[in-house]
Amino acid sequence: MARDYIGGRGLGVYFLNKESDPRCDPLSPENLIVMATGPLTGTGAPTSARYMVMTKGPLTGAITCSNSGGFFPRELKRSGFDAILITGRSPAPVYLWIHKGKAELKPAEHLWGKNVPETTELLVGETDPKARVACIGPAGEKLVLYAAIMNDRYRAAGRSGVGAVMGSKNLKAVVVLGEGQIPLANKDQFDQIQNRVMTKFREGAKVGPSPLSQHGTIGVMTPITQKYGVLPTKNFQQGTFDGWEAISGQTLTAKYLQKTVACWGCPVSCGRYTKIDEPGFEGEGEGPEYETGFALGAMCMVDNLAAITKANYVCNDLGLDTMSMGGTIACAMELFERGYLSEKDAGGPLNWGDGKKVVELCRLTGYREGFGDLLAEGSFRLASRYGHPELAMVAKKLELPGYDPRGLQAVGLNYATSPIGGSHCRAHMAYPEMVGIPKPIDPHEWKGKAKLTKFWQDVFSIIDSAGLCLFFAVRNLLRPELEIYPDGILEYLNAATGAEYSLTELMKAGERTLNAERVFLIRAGFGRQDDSLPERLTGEPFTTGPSQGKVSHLEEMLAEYYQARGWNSEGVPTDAKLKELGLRL
Amino acid sequence: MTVRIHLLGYLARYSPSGQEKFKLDLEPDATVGALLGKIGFPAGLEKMILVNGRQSDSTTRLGEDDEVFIFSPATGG
Repeated sequence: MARDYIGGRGLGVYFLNKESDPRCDPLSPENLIVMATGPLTGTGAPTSARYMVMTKGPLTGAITCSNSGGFFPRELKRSGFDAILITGRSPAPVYLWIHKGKAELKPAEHLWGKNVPETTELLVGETDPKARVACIGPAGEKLVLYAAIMNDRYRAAGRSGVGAVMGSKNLKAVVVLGEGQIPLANKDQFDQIQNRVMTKFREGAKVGPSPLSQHGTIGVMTPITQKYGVLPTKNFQQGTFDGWEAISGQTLTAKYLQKTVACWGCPVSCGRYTKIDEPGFEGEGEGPEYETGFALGAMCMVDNLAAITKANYVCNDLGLDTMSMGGTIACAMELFERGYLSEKDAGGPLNWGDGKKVVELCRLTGYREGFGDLLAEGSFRLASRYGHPELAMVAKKLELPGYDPRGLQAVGLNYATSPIGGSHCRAHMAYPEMVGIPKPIDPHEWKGKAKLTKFWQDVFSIIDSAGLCLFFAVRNLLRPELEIYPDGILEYLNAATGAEYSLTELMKAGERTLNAERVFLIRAGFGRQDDSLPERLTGEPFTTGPSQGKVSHLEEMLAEYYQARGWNSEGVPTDAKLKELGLRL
Repeated sequence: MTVRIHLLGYLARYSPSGQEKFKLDLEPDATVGALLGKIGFPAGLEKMILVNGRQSDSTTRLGEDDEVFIFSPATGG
């Protein structure tokens, strides 16, 4: 089984299909949470600091793949447990304490209501100074539908509401002390690969500092999306934002950056530790990264980076997904602008660009106070309540990332077909379409994108299952061709596990995971109608900018995509495909 | 003719002013390649070039007030 599914994300969907009912209420005791490391997690392979949280998401009703880095994942792996499965519901708040080969539930009444930094500090204090903590904040306790699970204080398994599932189980935290070694099947071989990969990486770094390290994801992506005219602005009403320079990473570096931050074993260090002294926005902590900057900034027309950063701190402290938070506030602002949402319901005016208001709404949402109680349901439910679901910029009810699909065709197809809904991380098609990695392709052409997107999704499921971060892997461990065969990951996996995968077998494992997730979705009642994008993106062309006149050609691409996947015209895997992969509906 | 240039991040080391954004006078109809030569941008350095938001290369011809944006392919998000 481990061979067929690799680990991490693959392991997660295997257990979800085997041990849970995809039709269950996500917040019921029946729902299963799988926290899984991959075979490379914590091995020292570059960026091997990741773990995956998989469950049925309360925001989407779909499967989740919430991925996070930091230090907790390696600690979990070192504890001797590759994965944790959590089901049921505790009658009172508890936390899970894993150490010395044991897992025990301990009372957590004294932690209930505490925010993420407080909880983390208290738990390290009462367990072990070296222990690592993944916990929920008030948002998870209050079942905010996009509550995150926060590890190492600032790292988030952010998407789809995995924190609310933990909250529904009265599970405040998972605390791990890992004292073991992570075994490698062939250490000499592993070290040789490591030397070769890192030497090449360091040679590249001599040419110039990594742009990600220099100004973070927010410094790389904000200018690039703006120049292409695909920076989602004003709830996707525009593709450019006049205030983009004020919210870019260059401004962050100049005004607020204290130091760069890396996850365990990461040579990239894209994290930002920042400090704000401006009155009303004081604070310090990690962030923002690009997705936060776009969602709490451009989407809400906020060009005040201090306000965005402060809103990020609030989300981190309360345990909220910044992307869905920003998308939901932007949706509320448009509902208000169009007169569908009253000032009375919103607890005051909701004007575009009001940074102070954005910070306040994050706080209200985390505690489900006032209008925050409605925002806590996400943009689809909010917009539906006021009669305009078309104003929710979501796919499978998950708020979309910061790349407008009207100017990036494969990006849109991936949003619509990603098993978790509107995510860029299950195949980051902006790499080839926008950044030119591994080489540039025409972002406006839709023909040929279906097959490519399918291929990339399969490879990204291998990255996710192995326990690696996308950033290093895409540039250094995949073939530098549009067909990004994962030669480098194959080498690392075989040295670490002794599994002796062939490339064909590994690709099949990636495809199997995608299809197993599709099986979960079909059983949960999803179908072709859910592989969709908001009408705005398929029917309302940009009126200005480099992508003027463009819309997403989702329908045309979707038909080709199903064919490439071996699914029928309704998006259901054919019997032949299921048999080939050893799956059952 | 004058064009607007934006060299992102460390590529600003090839800016005459050291700033990421600057303007440059070029012969009418000059190509991106001529621009790169004028600022001494190394030929072998990996880069992506956008002219007015569209993917371009060294053969692309420039016009008055065009914006040339050059970045090093890096990942993000």
